Amino acid sequence: MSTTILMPKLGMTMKEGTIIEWYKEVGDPVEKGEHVLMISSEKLNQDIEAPISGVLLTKNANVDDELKVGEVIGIIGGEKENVSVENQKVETPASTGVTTSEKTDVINDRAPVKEMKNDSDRIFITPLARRMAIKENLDIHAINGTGGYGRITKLDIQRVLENGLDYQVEELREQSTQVETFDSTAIGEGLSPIRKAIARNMRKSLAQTAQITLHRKVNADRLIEFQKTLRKEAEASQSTIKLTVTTLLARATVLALQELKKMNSIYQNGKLQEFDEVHLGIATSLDDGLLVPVIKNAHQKTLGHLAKDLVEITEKARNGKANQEILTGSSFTITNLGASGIEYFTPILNPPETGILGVGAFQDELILTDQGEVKSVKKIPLSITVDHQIIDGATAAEFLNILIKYIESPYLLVL
Amino acid sequence: MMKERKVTFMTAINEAMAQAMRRDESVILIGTDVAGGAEVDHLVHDDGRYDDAFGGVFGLSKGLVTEFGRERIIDTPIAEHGYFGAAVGAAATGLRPIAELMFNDFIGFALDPILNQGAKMRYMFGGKAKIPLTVRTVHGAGAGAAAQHSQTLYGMFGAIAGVKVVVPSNPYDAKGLMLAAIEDDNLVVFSEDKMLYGLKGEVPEEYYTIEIGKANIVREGTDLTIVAIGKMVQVAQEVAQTLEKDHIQVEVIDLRTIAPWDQETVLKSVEKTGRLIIIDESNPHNNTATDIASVVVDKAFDYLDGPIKTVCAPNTPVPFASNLEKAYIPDAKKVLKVADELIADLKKVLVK
Repeated sequence: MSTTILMPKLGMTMKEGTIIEWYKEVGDPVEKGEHVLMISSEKLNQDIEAPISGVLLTKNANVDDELKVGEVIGIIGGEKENVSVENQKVETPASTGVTTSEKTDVINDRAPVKEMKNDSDRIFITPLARRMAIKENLDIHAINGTGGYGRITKLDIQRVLENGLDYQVEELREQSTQVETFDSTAIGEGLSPIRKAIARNMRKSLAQTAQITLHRKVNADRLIEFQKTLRKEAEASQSTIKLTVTTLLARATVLALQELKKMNSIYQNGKLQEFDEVHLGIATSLDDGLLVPVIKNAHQKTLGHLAKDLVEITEKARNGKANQEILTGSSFTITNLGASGIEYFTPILNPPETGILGVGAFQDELILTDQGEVKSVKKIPLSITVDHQIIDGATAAEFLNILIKYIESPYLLVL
Repeated sequence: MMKERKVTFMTAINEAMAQAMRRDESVILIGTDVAGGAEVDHLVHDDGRYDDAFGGVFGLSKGLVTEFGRERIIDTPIAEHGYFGAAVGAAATGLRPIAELMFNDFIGFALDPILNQGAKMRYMFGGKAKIPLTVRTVHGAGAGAAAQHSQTLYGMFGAIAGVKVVVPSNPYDAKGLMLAAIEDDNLVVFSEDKMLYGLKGEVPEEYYTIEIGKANIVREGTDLTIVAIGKMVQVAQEVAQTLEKDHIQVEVIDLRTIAPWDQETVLKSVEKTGRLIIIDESNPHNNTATDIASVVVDKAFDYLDGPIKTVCAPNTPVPFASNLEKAYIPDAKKVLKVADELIADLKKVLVK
């Protein structure tokens, strides 16, 4: 048995070392742990100990030679081994299975092969990379494998040769080849076209976002009063506009979104966009499905316009007359399950939007007023779902706060 | 300038057979239904006209019996052992027959004349007999033809010493390889994927041959070699296009001949790329893909920068249910999945 003495790595940045002094001559017996030579690297001198007891068989470097980390400095053979270097060279191939015919290479070659066997951590390296490492005299223990299952590949060897051992790699950003975990083409198979579209959208939403939903109730008494007054006055002035609480909530949402633009955003293909304009999606249920027609530029519209648009787009959606133009481009969506008596729910984001507001049914509640009186009030339960990748819970809570400000002080809606 | 002439895979094979028969009187076609009923009583009208014969179970040899007559386009009983014996005998005694095995799944009935007679005679007779026999047969899943009509068995023929096997992937190759097979003085199995029959491609009108035993590099690349057989070449192309988006250059090799397969081209490519995937629709063991893998790992071991991957059908009969049949056939998604392990290092970049 013989063992190689390799140029050690003494510091994180060490790439090569210089031979300062040999303490032993070829043929000298050495004890395990005994100093064989001294090397230096970056002003640091270090004695190198014999890894085993035996005889120094070869010196692969002379004083003042510079060797890369991992390169072979010398070989120590077993005590009973022939001291003759020539014999050692001839003997090596048989014992290691290395078949290269160049005798001088064989000695150097032994290091990685043999050490691999002794090491409890088996090193995975491709045949090509192994051949290259042997040729370049590299210690494969020091190389970080980036191939499949951590194998050291040709590319790793090339990188070590170009950059030394101190470099880091990261995953390429684009991952077009990433294999999807489910067959996206099969989603919604066997369903009607509209259900299929919904299925795809919902699966995509849940697969690509991190959704969190917050709930909060808001006192709607003043809003309802405001709506009744406005409606009465509109009717008195022969206006055909039918102002609903939904209209007012839409307006409140638009204003809140303009105040907190973070919530008025889409995240798509690795790009986050915040908008000044609000294009408000209105989830509209049909007999067999759900559409989200969009009120474009909702921030520019008065309450009257919003009321008119709301009726128009939801009717178009229900009558199957909504075209692509009406059904795309929203920056935020409102969904209302109030008519079904639902209180709170967890709306699913309408991708690529980062937020969706769920409105529940009025709830009668008794409250204790500031004056210490018990009073019956109507409250609206609100549910806000956001993409936690983009928006944190605190931001979503802040959005609800702003929204509630407008609902509790409804005259702000006409400012 | 001549306008490109595009014809189907099926037409290309029909045209090749017709051109060979026009050039060489000794070329005949024999098989079950290859004429397909021409001149039989129920097809003959009172005024002497008769309906065109069907021309084989896929209509591939339609028109041949009209041009060459029943002497050269021979319908046989459903007795493969018998007519394959006749074909081998005819080949040994001067004809240049094309014998059709309707589906390769019927290999059992036709095997002895091919395995023990056709493949051995030239060798055992000291080269004094030639067996210029072309065996046309059909393989491949995807048509909903169930387990007994959908198998991919060219590898079984390829395992027989003395038999050459070609598997074309497109109409141009189909014609050139068919004419080369007919010209060849040895037994050549020509295996057609039924799913390619409708594939259209540019095919010159003139007579031309493509060398048997030579693979075709259909796309050059430096990072990963994909060897594909027959319709799997399309899968390989799809994978190459997908990986190109990650700047990984795939070399796609259309094997064309699976026995003897082109070791030179495959080894040269692997020596360049260090990575190899073989796509073969056969069942996964003892097939062409495993044979290629074993040869490459032996002859190009020191060039391999990763394990050799084979993407094959699973070890089951071909399912009839269409969703299962789809899952059975190797596709780009499966190939990309195994490729992930081979190209992991290429997808990592140095941190600056």
